[in-house]
Amino acid sequence: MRKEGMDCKEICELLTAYLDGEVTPKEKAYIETHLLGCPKCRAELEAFSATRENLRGALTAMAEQAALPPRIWERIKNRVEGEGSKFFRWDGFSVASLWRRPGWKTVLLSALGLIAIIGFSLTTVNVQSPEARAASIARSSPEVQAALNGEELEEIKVVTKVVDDEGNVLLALVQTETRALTATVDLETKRVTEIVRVHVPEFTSEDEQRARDIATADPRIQELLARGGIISRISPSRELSTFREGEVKMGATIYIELEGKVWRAHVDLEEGILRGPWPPPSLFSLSSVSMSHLFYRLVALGFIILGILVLVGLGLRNRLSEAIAGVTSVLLGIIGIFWGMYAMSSLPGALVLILGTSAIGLLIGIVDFKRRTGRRKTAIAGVVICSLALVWDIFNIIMAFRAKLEADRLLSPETPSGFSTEWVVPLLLILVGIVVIFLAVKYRKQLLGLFAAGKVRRLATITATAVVIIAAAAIWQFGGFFEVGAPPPAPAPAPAPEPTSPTVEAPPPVITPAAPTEPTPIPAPSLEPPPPMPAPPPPFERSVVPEEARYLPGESIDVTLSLTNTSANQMTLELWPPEIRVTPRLDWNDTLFSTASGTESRVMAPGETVSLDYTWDQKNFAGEQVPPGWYNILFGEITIRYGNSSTSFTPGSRVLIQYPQGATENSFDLNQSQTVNGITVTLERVELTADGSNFYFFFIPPGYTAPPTGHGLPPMPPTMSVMAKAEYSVGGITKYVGTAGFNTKGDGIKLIWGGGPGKLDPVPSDAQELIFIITQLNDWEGLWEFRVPLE
Amino acid sequence: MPEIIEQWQQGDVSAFETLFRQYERLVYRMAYLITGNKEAAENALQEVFISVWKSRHTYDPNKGKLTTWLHRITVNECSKRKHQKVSTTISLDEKGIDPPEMKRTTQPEEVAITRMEYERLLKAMAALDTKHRSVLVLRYFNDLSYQEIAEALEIPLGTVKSRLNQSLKYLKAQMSQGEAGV
Repeated sequence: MRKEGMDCKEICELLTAYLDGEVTPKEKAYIETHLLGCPKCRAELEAFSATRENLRGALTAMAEQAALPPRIWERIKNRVEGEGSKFFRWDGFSVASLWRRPGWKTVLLSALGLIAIIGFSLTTVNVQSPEARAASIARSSPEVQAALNGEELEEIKVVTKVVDDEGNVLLALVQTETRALTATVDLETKRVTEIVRVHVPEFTSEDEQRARDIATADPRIQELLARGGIISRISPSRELSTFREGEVKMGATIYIELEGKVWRAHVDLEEGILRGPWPPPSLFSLSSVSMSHLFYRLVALGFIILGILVLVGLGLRNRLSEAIAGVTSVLLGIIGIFWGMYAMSSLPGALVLILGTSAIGLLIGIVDFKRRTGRRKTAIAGVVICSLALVWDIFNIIMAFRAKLEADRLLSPETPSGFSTEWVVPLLLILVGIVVIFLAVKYRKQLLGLFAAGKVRRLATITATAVVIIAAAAIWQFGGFFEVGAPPPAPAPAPAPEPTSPTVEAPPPVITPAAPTEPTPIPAPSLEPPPPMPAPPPPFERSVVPEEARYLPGESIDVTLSLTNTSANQMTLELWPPEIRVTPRLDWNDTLFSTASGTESRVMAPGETVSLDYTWDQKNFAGEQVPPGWYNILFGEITIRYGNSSTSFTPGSRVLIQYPQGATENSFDLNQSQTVNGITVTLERVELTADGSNFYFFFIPPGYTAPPTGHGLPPMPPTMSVMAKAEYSVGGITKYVGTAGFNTKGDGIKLIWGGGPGKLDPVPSDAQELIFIITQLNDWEGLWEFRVPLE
Repeated sequence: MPEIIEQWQQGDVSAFETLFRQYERLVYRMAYLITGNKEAAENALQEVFISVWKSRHTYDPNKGKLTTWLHRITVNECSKRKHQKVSTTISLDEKGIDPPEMKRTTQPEEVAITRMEYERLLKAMAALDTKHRSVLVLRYFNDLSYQEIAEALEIPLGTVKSRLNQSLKYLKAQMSQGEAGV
């Protein structure tokens, strides 16, 4: 009974469908069987049937009763035609009807957001970057013109910029390879507030040698060399931040070619430190700060455009969107291919975007292909291009990973290769991205369904627009948004220099070293062994005995060079014995005497020491005794090859040939002034010692004003600097003393030649008079001659 | 017909008029049956076609029949008005109605009975909500299959089935009560 009751209830639920013929054959058979044995249900069915028939009749009767109301069409027509003026209508579209569609609101809002962002950025940046504005101010500044002394304006180039908190931009303006100015430009007043003349030291072959020594001593460089790398180029780089101090710090950039790729490292010649090596930059190397800003802005723009295209493609369901979807897919594929190339520039966070672009393009292409019945060519093209883009992106990312891992290994030799923690975040991001894309593809119907439902669709499109605009604004403003996975601490793959101490590499920018044509005594070339290096020492030791010594004229000068192989492998000394050269101490290029180098190689067993004795008889090529003074005895350059790498260096000894009669040892406070063409130079003090001599001058350059103070700032450096050269003669022998060092003093400038022990030659004790001539003082006409009585 | 639809979608007003003429009766009757009110039906007719014009780009001929689309818009339009007072004054009338032609062959006496039955049925139906009334109208006036109703209203097939059964059961119960009362 109970069972029957249940059956009846179930049957009752199905009776309407049964009458309407909307039951399955199985249900039908079941119902009919049941009806045969259940009078109650049969009665029920009859009642249902009657009601159903009556309802049909009632509805029809009621409908027939309703006569069509008149003039409805006229009302509709009026409203339809009043929908916007003819001007804004084209082929059935009108601005008003576009606006009424939620997807279009999104598009318009996105476009407005884009315009707002660009507008905002343009107004704040004032079209030009601060650096560019400062450069143009400096170019047209009369102060700069004056400081250039009529030199060609075309020779001025902006090397770099340093923006300080006060909105000042410091520009380094390079005139020649050894001369430069720095100009501080106040962007608010648009005036040049400070000009400092800077002496840029020449990059000598010795500097190059030292850079090579330091680099080849580094185990990471050694590994590159051991793998067949070749040092292809060493070029000077100058720490421009040190331009402020008036003396430029020298560095060098080492280029190592390995398997067709160029690795780079930077050597700080003063500190003897090597930075790098940096892996080969990608196709689109973003080495400068401004470039990377540009990149991020391009990414931001791409993001906005992407957002708009996606929203147009997915958010709308009309013919226009269908037409756009295919193109969108193709465009995204192209963008994806383009961005794939950026994978190499190691912007880990951006990988999601790179992959995402192609993946979204693919998704749109597939959706478009599926829903369209007509022209499918663009959709197919989109799918094909996006698929290629995805493959290309993945390939690039894998290559970038490999390069990164290799770089990591070289950068930290102690850690075995493997995934470093810096890659966890980007890896997670990539995983999340892949999962999201997978889910998006899998549930695309549901996603598209979201867009179909009125309110949800509106909400979704507005939210998406907001997200796109916020993300774009964030990228635009903060750039580094993508650098979620922090780049390795030491060198970013493209070594973006810190803004406060940018480094100029010689070949790309401006300062190109010429072969040394004139002596450059300041700073004196260093003969000291390289300063302690952070890396393990090279696998050999070297020494020159004595490093510095004093002799009388005619004495034999004995110098011994020793090289010891401290490694466990044999080494080869190339072209042994090396050339030996004698030069004046301040002028390495003036070879007074030399011996030819050998042509053989000399193998050094592990632990072996090779010595080379040399005796100089104090004679020059002509066989004449050289005058007393400071000289260099230089060995080399010596090239040692070990394993697959080699290192070259030029060790040497500094010797002083003393005056037989002895040197004057005295100091004078002279305060002797000379005025030429209105410029007064005062020789304040002369210091003469057995080891050398120092000369101190003071002068007030024309147009020089006391450094301004204000804004609570400490007093600024002088607004002008000088380039001074001089020579002196004692007893008929004239000696070149090179360029002066300088200091500020009171309301003028202090010029110093010598300035330390043993730089300039000493003066004989029997000299009566010393004539010191300033041969060049900036570009002012004149010779300032001082006669110094020595008794 | 596809040409007319294309022209209408491209914004041709005369093509739109052709469509209007073709479907105004269908829409108006449906609206009247669902709302039970001539004035509401007239308003609905106007709004439905305004809506048909405005959203002409969203209609995809490849996805379904135009009538299905029209049914949906009409039901939506009527649903918007459900908060308005649903007519309780359903009557087959004042002037007297002609029962459907199929009934013409029957006896006058029968016709009278049928008329009474109709009125009671329609009154009972007025008590139902728009959802249930819509389903009843689509099934027993527009003669749509369950599947077509599901598509037009964008509801699951099972819901169509249960709504119809509930509605019919309710009407049946009302009718039998009436009979008992008499």
